[in-house]
Amino acid sequence: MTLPTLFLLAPILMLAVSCLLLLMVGAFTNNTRLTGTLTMLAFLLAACPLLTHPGSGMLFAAGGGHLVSLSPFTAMACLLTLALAALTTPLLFPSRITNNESRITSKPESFILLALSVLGMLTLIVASDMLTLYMGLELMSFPLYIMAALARDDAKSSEAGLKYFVLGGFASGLTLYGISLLYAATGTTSFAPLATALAAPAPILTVGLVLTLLGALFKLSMVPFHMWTPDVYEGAPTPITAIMAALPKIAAFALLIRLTMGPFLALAHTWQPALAMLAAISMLAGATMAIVQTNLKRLLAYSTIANVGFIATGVVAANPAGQGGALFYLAVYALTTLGLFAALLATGATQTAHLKGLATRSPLLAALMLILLFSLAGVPPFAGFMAKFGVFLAAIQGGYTNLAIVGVLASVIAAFYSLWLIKLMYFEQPASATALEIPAPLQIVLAVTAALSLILGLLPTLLSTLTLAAATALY
Amino acid sequence: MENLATLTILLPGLGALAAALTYLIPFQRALPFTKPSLPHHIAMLFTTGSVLAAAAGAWTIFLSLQPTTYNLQPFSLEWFTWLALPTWQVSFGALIDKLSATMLIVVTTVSACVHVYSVGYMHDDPSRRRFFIYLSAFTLAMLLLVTATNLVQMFLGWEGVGVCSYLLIGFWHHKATANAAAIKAFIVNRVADAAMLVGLFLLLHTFNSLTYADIFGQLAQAITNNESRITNHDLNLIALLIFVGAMGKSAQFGLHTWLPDAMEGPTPVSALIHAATMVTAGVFLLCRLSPLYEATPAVLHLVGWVGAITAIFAATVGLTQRDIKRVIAYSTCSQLGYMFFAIGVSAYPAAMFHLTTHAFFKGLLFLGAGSVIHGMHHEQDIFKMGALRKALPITYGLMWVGSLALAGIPPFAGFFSKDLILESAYMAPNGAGVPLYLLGTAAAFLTAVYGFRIIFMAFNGKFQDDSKHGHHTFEHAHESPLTMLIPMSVLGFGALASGYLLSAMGHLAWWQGAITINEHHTALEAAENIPWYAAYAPLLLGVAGIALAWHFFAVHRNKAKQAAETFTLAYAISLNKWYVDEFYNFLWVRPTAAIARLLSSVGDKLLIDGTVNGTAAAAWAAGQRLRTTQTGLVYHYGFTMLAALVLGLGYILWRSL
Amino acid sequence: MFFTLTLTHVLTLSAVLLAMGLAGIVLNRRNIITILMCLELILLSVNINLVGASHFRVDLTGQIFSFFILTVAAAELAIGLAIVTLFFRNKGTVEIDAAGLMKD
Repeated sequence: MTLPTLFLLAPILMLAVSCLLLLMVGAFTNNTRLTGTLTMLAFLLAACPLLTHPGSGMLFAAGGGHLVSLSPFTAMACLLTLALAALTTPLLFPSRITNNESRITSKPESFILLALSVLGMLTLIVASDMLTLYMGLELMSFPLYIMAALARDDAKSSEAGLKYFVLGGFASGLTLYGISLLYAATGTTSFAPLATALAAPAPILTVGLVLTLLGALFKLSMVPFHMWTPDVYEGAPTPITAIMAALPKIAAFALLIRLTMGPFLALAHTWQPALAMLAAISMLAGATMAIVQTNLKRLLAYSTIANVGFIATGVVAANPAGQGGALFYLAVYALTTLGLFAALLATGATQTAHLKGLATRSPLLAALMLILLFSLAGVPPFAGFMAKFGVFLAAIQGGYTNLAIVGVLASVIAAFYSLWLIKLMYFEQPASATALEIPAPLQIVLAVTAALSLILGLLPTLLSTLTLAAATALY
Repeated sequence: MENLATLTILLPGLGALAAALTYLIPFQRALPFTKPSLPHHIAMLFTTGSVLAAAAGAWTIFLSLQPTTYNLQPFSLEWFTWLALPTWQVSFGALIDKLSATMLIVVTTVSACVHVYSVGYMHDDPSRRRFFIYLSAFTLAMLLLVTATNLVQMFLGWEGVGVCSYLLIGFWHHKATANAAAIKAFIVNRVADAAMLVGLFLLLHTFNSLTYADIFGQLAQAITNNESRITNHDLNLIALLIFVGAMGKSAQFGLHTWLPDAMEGPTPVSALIHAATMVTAGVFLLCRLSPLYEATPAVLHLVGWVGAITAIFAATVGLTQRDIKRVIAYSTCSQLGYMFFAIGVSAYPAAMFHLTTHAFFKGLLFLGAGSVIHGMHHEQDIFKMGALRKALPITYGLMWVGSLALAGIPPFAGFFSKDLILESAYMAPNGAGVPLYLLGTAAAFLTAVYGFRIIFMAFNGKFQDDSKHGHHTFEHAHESPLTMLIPMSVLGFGALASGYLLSAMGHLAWWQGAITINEHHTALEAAENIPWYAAYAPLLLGVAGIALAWHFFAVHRNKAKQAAETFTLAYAISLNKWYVDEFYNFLWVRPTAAIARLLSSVGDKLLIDGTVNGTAAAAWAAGQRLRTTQTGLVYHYGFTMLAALVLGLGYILWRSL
Repeated sequence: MFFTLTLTHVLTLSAVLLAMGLAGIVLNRRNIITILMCLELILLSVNINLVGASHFRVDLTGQIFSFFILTVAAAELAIGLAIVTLFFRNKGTVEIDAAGLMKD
């Protein structure tokens, strides 16, 4: 392995080194602002080589294949992850006007945990061996478990951490068991040889396939592996919830796409209908359960479940349009979710009723939330509409017209809670008339996410051409 | 040149954006020593400056396209792909040829004049910053419309100007009439746009593209090969539906009712939108689609008749209106009618020529009217004016220029273009245009009458409002500031000289292929061979009209009153605008309201609300039931996962056996 | 020797261990520590699978993999115990039924 090939891994290596340095900075200065700024810089720096030298190739030959493979697809997914990670850091920043929740998370260790988790995501995205996959998955998850329980004196937070940890460990145990079965049956853990070995079907392979995919499905909170989501979202401190809702989904979907189109391509007849079923159930169940929620974070959790169903529609389509559409949807979804959580932080609202009359208390915040909620509901001309349009179109092309129809139905139900929140904000009287002051870091996040939700709706080709191009080169 | 074109089109938008950004700066808090008017001045500077620069760019492009100067060839450019679907894609870009270049200079010149004029006209309005932003945004939409390479971008601009027009008509939103007028304009246009949208969908369905070049290419091929794929029936329907859309925007008879009401907006708006630019969009679109309309002679015939009827109808109504701006509005309606009947006899160049000259003299008339209104402290009734020529001498002179151009008296601009239209109509093959010619000539006579009625009523004779308030107004009547007079003079120059200077526009060759005319439609070429009596009739009637107006409205005003009392019915019909609004009220508005009430009580409340609420209730109930699965207990969650896994795996394995 | 050890035997053993681990998590209604042990049991079954398959397929990947799992499992358990400690501090108990604040 020569140096130029190693350069392909530059983003991950840079981030890994940054994590160690950040640990030093955090430990010795205990300066939250400094650590936070450096973390954001680390994300942006790691994104630079992806922008300037997006290369593709295989690294670290092992077991008949390679541990890592880079492609335009991984570059795109890594870039999205890093960009959004940089956008989440302001949520953890301390600010002049702050509530208890932000104070809990405004610590140097939050940033370091975030950076480590993102490192895991990048590893997960580029994995082309079950070993790398496992390491990436756990490196992504462990910091999230810790972050969920970050509010040490809050019973809900530690309960959230516990639930996330137990169920996450359970899911990754099952995934590992699936991997071990595949290894026992084929003698390899590398994607490329697995793809050829799986061409001859056998029951043990089917079991291995399903168990292996379970890890990704759990992280994605697809029904019926979704049950941790509302509880953990509610219990974790809000900035952490925002991170959990936005970032891991990108990595997990990238993994799901690469797994299904790589080693498991030969078993498409097995996973395609199964995934279609899960996608349909996810969007219907997520949307219906969201409308009865009164807790905003739980509502957004169910909204996530519904959206994951929509995104999975693109994966089920199993064509570049679907995978590109899924990537586009992921970007839009992550932006919208991030913006909405930032809005929750800014208002300090936990219950839906707290949003009543927000338009009179802070017209700007209400307007930005309006854009984000319209995007979430899939109302044209906002980005959410284009995203849904893309995956449904791809599903029809991929022969899953029924799924697209269910998707349209579910998006009607899903539009309900978004519009309901808008109604609360604009057509109800506020409980208190005090004007809201929005902390500066949140202003940035809100402005960027709302602006992008609008721009990507008006000019979807800015991103969709890139995601489509990325989806044509998965490995 | 590509960059210049892009810049020219986008500059007004940038200006509007920069002006809008001033809202984000807390001037009073950050710069407490500045005057409150500072943000307004900054906004005016940005918008007016950018539109002036755009006008300079537009003229550069236009002059470069002339064979005698730079000899630039028509070109099109693509900015970006907006929407990429598997079957077709939509790109944004610009098509620069003679047609769009002509529209570019018309739009930017009038817009620049109106921007400068508004600096004076709106000087004491507390929210004039918003006004300028709307104006510039409108200009951007209009430029996108005329330079579009495809019908999607065109439609976007089309709707954009509609929205900006709505905002500008209702700019004084505290006035109930202004709001009502804005809504009326929007709704009438919406009706027309609905037809047009259907037309565009049919077009997409037939040609699988909405790009002009694609459509015209396929059309030409289909005609030469006599393909059955594109049937006459489809083409007729498409052409008709798009024409309905154009009728709405261009206020043709039947869909014209919004235009006079739109005079509720500030006068500069009327000059820009309701004289020179937006209302001409329909004419432009039909010229742009000339290959399509040349293939559908039946629709073309209808276009001609609608135009001629509008021309005569609006002229008769203009005779009796009291509001100075309404008279000019009906005049616009009438002149747009001329343009459409020129298109009806395939004299597209004549229509575009008239569009250009009309933009100048009608813009001038509106600005002149605005100057009068400004000088008279917002009095718009010409029966409450008179003898203003001493107080407003420059406005008076410029109004003469505008009205002479409107009446078609040589050497003013309107003479060249209007005569070309009438001559083309007279010489249309098989005499098909002769009735149109007669209607148009009669309208020309009426045009001269009502045009000079304004001047003689407002500027000559005695002052007519004897009330105390009237006298006060008259004594304080004043000439407008230079910021208003200079743009008026620029347009005055256009009204004076554009007919002569741009007379080459009347020839098909000048358009360098931007306009297509079927070789059998020879009206325009034959126009030169018109017999002398037909050629001079409109001019003579125009002069006669001016004389008549002098007699009735400057010298013997009581005679006009007598005439009105003698011909009660005719007067009433004209005054009440042929009762079109009342007819619509009876035919559409009231039945629609009644049906709406019925539907709302039975259909909406019972059926739709029932269904929607039922669905919502069902979803709600489902959600309530589903939420009980979320017990909060870890082992339940784990069990669910495991059970789902086992069941799913079992099913899959059972299937694969 | 009563019988020859084959891969099937190894797989069966690990499946039994897995079932015990899963049952421990799903059926256990008392102690969180037990759940942590059950999670370890699952990982143990995986390791047995991997090492067994590695032996019978004469391929080192499985054994290397199991080392990685051992290391990661240690880290996982450390986090798990830390969270349980936190939970105990807040609730005063390590009963799993106590983790029911959030539901619906």
